[in-house]
Amino acid sequence: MATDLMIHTKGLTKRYEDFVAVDRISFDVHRGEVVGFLGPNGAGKSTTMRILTCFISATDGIAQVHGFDVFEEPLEVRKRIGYLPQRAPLYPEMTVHEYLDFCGDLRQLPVGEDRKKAVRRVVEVCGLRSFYTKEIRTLSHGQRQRVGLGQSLLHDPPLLILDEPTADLDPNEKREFLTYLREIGEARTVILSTHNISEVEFACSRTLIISNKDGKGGRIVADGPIETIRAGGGTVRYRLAAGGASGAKGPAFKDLRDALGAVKGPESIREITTADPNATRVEVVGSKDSDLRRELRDAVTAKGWDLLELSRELPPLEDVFRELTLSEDRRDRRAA
Amino acid sequence: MNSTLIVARREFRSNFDSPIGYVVIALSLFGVGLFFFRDYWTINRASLTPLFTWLPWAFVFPIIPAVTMRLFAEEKRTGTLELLITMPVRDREVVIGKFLATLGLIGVLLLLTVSYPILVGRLGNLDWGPIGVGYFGLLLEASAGIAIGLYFSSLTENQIVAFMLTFIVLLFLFAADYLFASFTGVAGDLVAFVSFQRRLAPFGRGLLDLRNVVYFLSVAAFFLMLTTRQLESRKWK
Repeated sequence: MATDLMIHTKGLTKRYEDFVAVDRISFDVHRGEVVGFLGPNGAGKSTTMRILTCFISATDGIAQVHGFDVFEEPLEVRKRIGYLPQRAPLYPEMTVHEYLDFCGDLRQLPVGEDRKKAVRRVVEVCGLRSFYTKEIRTLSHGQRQRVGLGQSLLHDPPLLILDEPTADLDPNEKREFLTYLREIGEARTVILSTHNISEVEFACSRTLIISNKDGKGGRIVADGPIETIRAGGGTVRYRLAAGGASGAKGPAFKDLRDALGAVKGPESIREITTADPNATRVEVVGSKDSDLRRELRDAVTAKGWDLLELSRELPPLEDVFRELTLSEDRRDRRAA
Repeated sequence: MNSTLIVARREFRSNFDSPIGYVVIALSLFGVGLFFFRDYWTINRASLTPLFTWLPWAFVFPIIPAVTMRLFAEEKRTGTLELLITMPVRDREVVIGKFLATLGLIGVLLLLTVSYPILVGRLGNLDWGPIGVGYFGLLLEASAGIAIGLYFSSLTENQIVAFMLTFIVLLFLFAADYLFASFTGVAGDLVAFVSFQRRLAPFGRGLLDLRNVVYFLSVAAFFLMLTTRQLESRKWK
């Protein structure tokens, strides 16, 4: 079935008796997209992935993979998916070689040169060479995770669904893996579930944020390229550094905060680190609907200080994520 | 290769990648041998009665509960069930594959006990027909027992729970005659109908009764179907 629409969900809902895990989720994913699926624990990320991989069924709504309904045609869907669940599904008594061979058999990969090629590619890409003949029970967490990833790539699937795949990888392995994801994402579709926002920023062209902050079920609260989501937050960050006149030592933070606090608009002011011993540096949070740069500059110069730095930036994705997913209750507790 | 056979092959091998297969076979052979040679040395009689008397009991405890307890419970605990279920494999293929693998293990065990009939055959004339029927009966009982064990293993992540549930149900079915000996009328008929031991006894005497064959196969088919439904139930829970 030739279609660029790899995933289509509409009103997808999963209920467990009184508990709603996923509430009317709708999104489409096209070929060539690497989508970061972000959300706090319990938001419904794994549930959504398990529905898409036909492990569980939705209570309501539509879920299609490459045009095939996950409930009506699960075998067709499974053929097109490479899936790495949160916990790498491995048989510890098998060697890596036996395990990949078993997965190749289940995937009906023809035995012979094609199979060998597929295994060689996975061994190379996932860095399995040094422990290829070892029993899985003897491998480290990171190595096991790579073996799990290997099985998901073995049949060269058009759609890769990865549930927190980097959880057990060291920083170098993470970077290699994410670079690889970015590369393969050009020809395939990848959905990467993670808590780690920097991974999404590095590897994903698009971000879906799912939240269950009101406890009524996971919902999509943001969907789009990272810059668009950052711009969608309600605030902006100003970075400002002030020094004393003619290179003298900068004002005390308290004095600078009082001066900036007199400006109408800042929601919060906090000191941030700087390498310049003669500067005092702060971050000011304000509404994204206004631009306070002139007022902030005037507040500094009016005191006779030198303005060493002033910038206005969109909030980091992490802040937008927190804003979108943290319940009022938890936000209040944090503030307290 | 057919997906059922792929699952069966991995499952069968896994019995011998851990001590379970060896321990079950060694203990079973030791137990049967103990009874066999006890008769041989004490009453100077070489008989296959221990084989067809004690092995069915050994199936109830501990062989079948031991070899079936981990089939699904372990896969659930380690998360590999998610791998199997999200591969292009049907749920029933997973269930039947596991069933065949475990039946294969029991087959190996039974094959190894053939040394006893061979020994008896060397000591005197042996009619191999009834022996073959007896073995067939044991295989049928094992089929029904494995299907029951498979079902209880699919209910839980805890292997001990699976072991105990399988043991209790097998004990009830096998020893219904003893446990409910006082039952008469319809209840008595029902006990007689379900009793594994009563169904198995004719096989031990070399009698091949189709009703008993159908009974054991029906129990196996029923519990395999229940297991498949149980596996599928994750979809609508």
